[in-house]
Amino acid sequence: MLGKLIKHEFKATKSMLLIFAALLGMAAVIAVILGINIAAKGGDALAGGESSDVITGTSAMIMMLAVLAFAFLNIFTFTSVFIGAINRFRTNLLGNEGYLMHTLPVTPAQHIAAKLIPAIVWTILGIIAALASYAIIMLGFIPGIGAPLPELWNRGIDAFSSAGEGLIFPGAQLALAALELLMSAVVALAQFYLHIYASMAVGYSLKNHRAAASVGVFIVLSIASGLLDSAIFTPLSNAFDNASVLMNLETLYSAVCAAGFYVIAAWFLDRRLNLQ
Amino acid sequence: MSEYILDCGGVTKRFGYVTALNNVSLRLTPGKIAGLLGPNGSGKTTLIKIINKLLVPDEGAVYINGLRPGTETKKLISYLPDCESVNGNMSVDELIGLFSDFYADFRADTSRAMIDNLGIDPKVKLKTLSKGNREKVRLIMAMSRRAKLYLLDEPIGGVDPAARDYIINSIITNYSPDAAVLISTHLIADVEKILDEVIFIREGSVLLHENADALREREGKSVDAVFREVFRC
Repeated sequence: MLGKLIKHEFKATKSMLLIFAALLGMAAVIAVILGINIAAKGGDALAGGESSDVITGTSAMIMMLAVLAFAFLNIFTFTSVFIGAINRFRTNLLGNEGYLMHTLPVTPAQHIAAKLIPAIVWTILGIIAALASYAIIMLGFIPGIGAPLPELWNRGIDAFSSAGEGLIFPGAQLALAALELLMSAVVALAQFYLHIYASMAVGYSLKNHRAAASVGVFIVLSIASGLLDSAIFTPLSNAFDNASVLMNLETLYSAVCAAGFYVIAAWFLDRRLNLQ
Repeated sequence: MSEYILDCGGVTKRFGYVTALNNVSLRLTPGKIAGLLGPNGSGKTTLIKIINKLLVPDEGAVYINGLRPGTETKKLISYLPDCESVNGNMSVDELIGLFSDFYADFRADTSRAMIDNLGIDPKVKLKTLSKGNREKVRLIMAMSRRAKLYLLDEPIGGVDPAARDYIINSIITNYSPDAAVLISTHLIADVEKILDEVIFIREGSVLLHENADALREREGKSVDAVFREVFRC
């Protein structure tokens, strides 16, 4: 049943793909304008000059509009991903749509997981789309800086590989470092969303002032988890001087917090649901 | 397997200082259509929510086919809430897909035939339909299941008389003969003709639970007339 819930959740939120496509498309427009203008100036115009010398006249106007649209799309992408995930939980499980969702033969824990997994996937895809959009814009500069694409890629790989050294044990390689980074990111996102879900599940169990109560619960849970974090990690940071071990312990702590928020949200949806 | 499809015993629910349900006990047997009749705020929706596990009672117990409310009982209950519970951005096709995925007893062909009879394009989003058609679509979804217990909360509230006839006709022609139907409403005259049993509820307490024909015979008047007399302000 969880798989079916996730399938329907992705179908209901598939419009995210359009937003990502718009972001990448606008980046492509900027890259093309850059490429055309740099090529027209002889290919090495950026090597020692100002960008204002490269793009002038009508192109500059179009470029300015494109950059503004790109900046707007960047903001819109992230607000859509985060606000969309939070709003989806509220309307689908705590609003009128909850009358349908909570009478499906699935458990509250499955409902939460079915909201959480797509939210994390969309967030990661949003980050990838944003990074890809910057990479696309950089492509527009390539003729100017004279660095071939494969070389840029290799430089990136080298940088990432060396950054991965010492994360888990000395000599850790790219794949392990990437996995560790991804795992930390997923756990951090899970903690973030479950913190909000738990706050809303508690806040919306009340009769009145439900949104304000959710914010209040969010603050209380933040303080509680922050104090616990300090109590655990202040002595640990004195005891250990290995940053990577501490980082992994922090990830473990985030996972425990996420599990705690999950249990709170599931219990309130099961025992204190209050649809109005 | 219980003799009663629905068995509520001593159900009490309080919201702060307000007692929404006070020691409610009632039983329904399969094959009967019962009307849960009471004025606004009498506790009808609260009781239906508790049966659906959308609320947890403070006291008492509810059994559906011998089971406490939970994931298993949701497979047995077909519920029509008294609000717009479907995302308006969904199409009728997507709604049918959702019900097919989650309810093994859902008859997609029946629902498609009924939607077709109404002349509704299954590809259009629900929010583009009229209120009456959205109500009909939600009812079609509920009645296209082969459920053991149908809980219909105000199914004819807010629709025109022609739509009411369609809804009532859909209920009596589509419910499973081995199922029980509980219809909550305060529009007695429209549903009276299809009721086998009537349950009067006021201020969270059951005043009366009786066979509809026996009530009419005993009082010498329609259920609607008895209701107006009992609930006169």
